[in-house]
Amino acid sequence: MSQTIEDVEVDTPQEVRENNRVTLWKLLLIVPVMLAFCASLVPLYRQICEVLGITATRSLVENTQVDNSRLVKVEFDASLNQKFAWRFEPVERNVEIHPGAIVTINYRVTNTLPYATTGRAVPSFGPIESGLYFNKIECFCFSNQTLQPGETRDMPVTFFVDPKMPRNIGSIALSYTFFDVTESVKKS
Amino acid sequence: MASTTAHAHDSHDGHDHHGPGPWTRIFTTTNHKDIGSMYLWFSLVMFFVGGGMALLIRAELFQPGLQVVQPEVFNSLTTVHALVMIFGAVMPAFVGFANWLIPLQIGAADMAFPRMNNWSFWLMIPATVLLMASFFVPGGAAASGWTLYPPLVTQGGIGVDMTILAIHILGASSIMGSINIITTILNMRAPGMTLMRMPMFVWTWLITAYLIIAVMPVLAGCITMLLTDRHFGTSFFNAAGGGDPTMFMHIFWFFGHPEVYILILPAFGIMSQIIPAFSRKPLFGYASMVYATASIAILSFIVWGHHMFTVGMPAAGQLFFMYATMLIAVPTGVKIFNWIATMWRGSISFETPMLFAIGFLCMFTLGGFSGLVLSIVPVDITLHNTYYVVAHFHYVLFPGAIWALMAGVYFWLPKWTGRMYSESLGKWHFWLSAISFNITFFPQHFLGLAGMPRHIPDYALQFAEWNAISTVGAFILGFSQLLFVYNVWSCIRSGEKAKERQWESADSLEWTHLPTPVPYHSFETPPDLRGAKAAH
Repeated sequence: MSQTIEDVEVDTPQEVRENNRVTLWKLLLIVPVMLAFCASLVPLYRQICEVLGITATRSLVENTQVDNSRLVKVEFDASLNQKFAWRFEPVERNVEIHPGAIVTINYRVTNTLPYATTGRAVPSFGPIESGLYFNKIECFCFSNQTLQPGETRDMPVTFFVDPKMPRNIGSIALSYTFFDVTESVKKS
Repeated sequence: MASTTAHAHDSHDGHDHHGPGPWTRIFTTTNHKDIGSMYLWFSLVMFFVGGGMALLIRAELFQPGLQVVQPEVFNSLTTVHALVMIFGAVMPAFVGFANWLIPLQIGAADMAFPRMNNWSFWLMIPATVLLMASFFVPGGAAASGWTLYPPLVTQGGIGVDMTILAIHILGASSIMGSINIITTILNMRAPGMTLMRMPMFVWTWLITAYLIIAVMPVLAGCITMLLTDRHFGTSFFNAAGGGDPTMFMHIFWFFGHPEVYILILPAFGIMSQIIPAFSRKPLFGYASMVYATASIAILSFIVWGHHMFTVGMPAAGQLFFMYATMLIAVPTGVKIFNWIATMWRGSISFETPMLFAIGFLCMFTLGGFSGLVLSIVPVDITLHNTYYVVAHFHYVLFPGAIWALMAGVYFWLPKWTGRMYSESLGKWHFWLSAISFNITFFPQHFLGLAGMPRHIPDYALQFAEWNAISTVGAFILGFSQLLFVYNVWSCIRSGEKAKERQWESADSLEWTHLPTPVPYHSFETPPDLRGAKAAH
């Protein structure tokens, strides 16, 4: 850099002041522009995340695990331990479902006795192998159910059948047996 | 700093100064030298405030277990240490240099907006008071790290609000300072001082000032969103209301990475003044230095993602940020090699400013290399938030930014005050700093590689030895900075008279066109440089 500059005009102080004022406003303009840019990052960020599919608030995806190629028949059975005077029956006798689909059915229980009693249900499956693929999300079994005299209650079972269940199992029987546990509850 | 009254009558313009007394003067002064000195004194005080916090942190980490401070206070200390050092020490110190030197180096009488200059200094005082007072309010000072990440920061007490407000004010102050600097450089150069003839220090500040105006509003915007999330029921970063804390990291680091270069580019400028002066050669590759500085500034806007490789960004994003980060090593390398080429076959002498400059060159390069290591995504994922990162950024900030400032003070002190500092004390200061800095921070590489996390007051037993060594180094480092204070103070009070041109090869305008010490009013008629050869 050794060129010489012979003929540059020299600004008067007034010109310098004027130039400074213009530069000041130009530079000050950057501030709101960058503030607006910062604010625009908020919607921009959402958009980019959505486009890239990495949003944390994405809607629940559809259940893609349903095996629509076959139907399995599930039959519901209800029985009582012989000394137990409740009325206990499934609302539907059976349903046909695709493996993987989530289903809710109801059992209806009535206490026919003149006093409050407590029962507990235990499930069983037929064929036994099907129990490995029968997943209950919600069930009344294995917990104490106390009914007042004459009370009727619907007890839901929410379940799905694992799509990995072998195809040779075409139907499943789900059976519940209610036991009277009133005495043991009193003791404990 | 400049003893103005004693020399006012020597100044060529014949101004007299029986104006206001010293106390009124520091509030009302619009003189760029006064304000530059005020910035420098302020940042020196804040350097020791932040340094005191650093020593408390190191004292706590001397042994495993909790001895000195409680974990909440420890977290506040790391947070405020960083904020004080960045916004209270390094940035104001560089603005102080800009105030002192830019008008002198371009042949201007003063800054473009002297009253705004005064205001941008005095804004820093309430901001600092707010920041320091936040230690004494219920809940204590912000304890989230200086990056103020939600959700932690949205749970803090009123101390967080005081910190946010302090950063707002400091941001406004830096924006005003930057507008002043750019306007001065663009409009007030002496005739013949073309852009490509400006000293590198002026160039680096021109670019830095643009960075500041561009990113400080982004910081202001994102901490304002924090404030509304905390108090006005918005959910920008609050996941419970549909916000995203990761978005804060993106916005913050969009500011944060250019901020890193705001802290180092003026240091590059000071280096580019000192190294040629003591090598007795012109700066090698002046034009490439200018373009490299501009490239670093532009690239700094597209690398923010490397601070957050672990948030779960897509692999394509990680790759982009990794390569963009590595790309910055190219212009930085250009600068490093230019400085080495400047020294090559020069008649080098090793006065204190040059010692600090060479120390800068070695240690900053080391910090740059550990930065390159961290830019590699798979490596960063294991080293993220470990002491390796702490070691990396202290290598680029202490021997980088701070040593450049020290070197600059030693270099220009004779010009500013007309008196000479003690060369032997300066050398003691350098060597004690160099050795103790490495004792402090080199072991932190090992600690980070072994997996010691940042921001935690306690640590597993296997880290004990290196932490003890690091703490010993930190205390030597901290106390050896007192030599600097003593040296500067005794130079101003009773130093030997400096030579008219203390460094005979320093060739920017303040050395060639002004008497020593620099008169209170300089270049009231701009020097005519048309036809003169460029200084570099």
